Amino acid sequence: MISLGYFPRLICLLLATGMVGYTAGTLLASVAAPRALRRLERAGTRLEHPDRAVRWLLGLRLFPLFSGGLFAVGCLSSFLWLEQGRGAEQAGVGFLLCATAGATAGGVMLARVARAAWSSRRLLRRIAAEAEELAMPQAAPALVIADAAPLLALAGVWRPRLLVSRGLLDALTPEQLEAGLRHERAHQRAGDNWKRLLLSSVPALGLGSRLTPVERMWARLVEWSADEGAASGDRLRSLSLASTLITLARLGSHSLQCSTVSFLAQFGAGADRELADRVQRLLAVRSPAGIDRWGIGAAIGGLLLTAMLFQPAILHALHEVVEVLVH
Amino acid sequence: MLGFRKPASPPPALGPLEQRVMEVLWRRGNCNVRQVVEQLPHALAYTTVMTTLDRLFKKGLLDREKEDRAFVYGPRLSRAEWERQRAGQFVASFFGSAPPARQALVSYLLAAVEEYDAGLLDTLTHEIQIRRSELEAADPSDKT
Repeated sequence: MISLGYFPRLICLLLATGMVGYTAGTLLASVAAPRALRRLERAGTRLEHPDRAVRWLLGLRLFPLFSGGLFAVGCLSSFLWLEQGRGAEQAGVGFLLCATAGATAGGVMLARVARAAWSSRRLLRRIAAEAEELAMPQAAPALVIADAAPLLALAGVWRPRLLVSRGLLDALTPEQLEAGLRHERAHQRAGDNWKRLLLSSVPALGLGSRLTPVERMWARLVEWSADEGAASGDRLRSLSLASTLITLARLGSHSLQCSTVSFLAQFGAGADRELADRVQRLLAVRSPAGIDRWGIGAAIGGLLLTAMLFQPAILHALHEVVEVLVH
Repeated sequence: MLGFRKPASPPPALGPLEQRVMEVLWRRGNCNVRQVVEQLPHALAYTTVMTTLDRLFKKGLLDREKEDRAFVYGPRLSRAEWERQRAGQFVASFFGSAPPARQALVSYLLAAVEEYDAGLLDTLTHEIQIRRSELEAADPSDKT
């Protein structure tokens, strides 16, 4: 047992309860993940609303953050309300270990966010030094990279930039280019690079084998969702985007053969399947999704759960938990 | 998240000053430091240009020989050769394993530096053409 003052106890409590909630959330998410993934695999290219699936997958992967935050806020509220003595108190080793683990997990997360942000900034700076700007209709200027290999991308988080390679710009028709840009703008509107940042920063606490497939499925479906956002139910736009994908694939295969690059198998044999799936979905153009009732229900449920947390009976119960955890 | 094989190391990228110095050497051929300084559009210190030339030599982009106690620099590759070697490498480095590309937050339309099955691409192109023909044959007002 170690004696801790009021404020050190408060900080340790925040970290320890956050860690306990986060761990519980991670376990729950890892149990739910295989089932959710099996369901999505079964649906395959017939999946009706990839945007909704993307939200659920994101929610599932970030659930540990929500549960950790909720439990920490609840315990902290009960501590501030019910903890009368402001003096020092004895704290158990288990409590201190939990707090240390919480600090470590938080530190890892912050370090990952900082590393990804720094890498993106460095990459964009490197590109900006070599690229020229190209005015884009109804959008911020794109950066044109003097490279023959095909690239169309959205890079960065705070001020994302559209990147186009000269090789692709020369190869695409204006209609195809517009379709590709609409796809990237759909990513921008959905804040997908922000979500990528969050997904890449949450620790899996040793359950990566169960949770990484969720991230992989999210990365796959987020492309389907951006495809549908770009097409907006318009057949001609869908076909243009499909032909843009084929042109990109052809150019990519060609640049592999003619340059010294002989690497990369991002999806291995899955690349063909992934491309075929996206094109098939674009050929069977779908209407834009309506209201996501389940999503709204989940959001309301989350808010109700948060509101319930501040009921006196719940706060008393949480304080009991805090007492057990600290001592 | 996903496995990558390590890419071949790309030819070095050039900074703005390095690019200007290389432009001079590609235009004029072999030059010593003073000649490069004189050819640059903006006045730069002799030592700055000397350091830049030395850096380009160390990057393997220049050859140098000593003439009358001064180095004479010449480009190892012609501009066309350099551009040919660079083609594809910049984009390839995007998808590579080296930081910062691996950790950067980028959404791609398609990770296109891939070997795709040519037969599959032909089949998909054919299907797109069929759909396009169907669409064009239909009433133009019924495109959505």
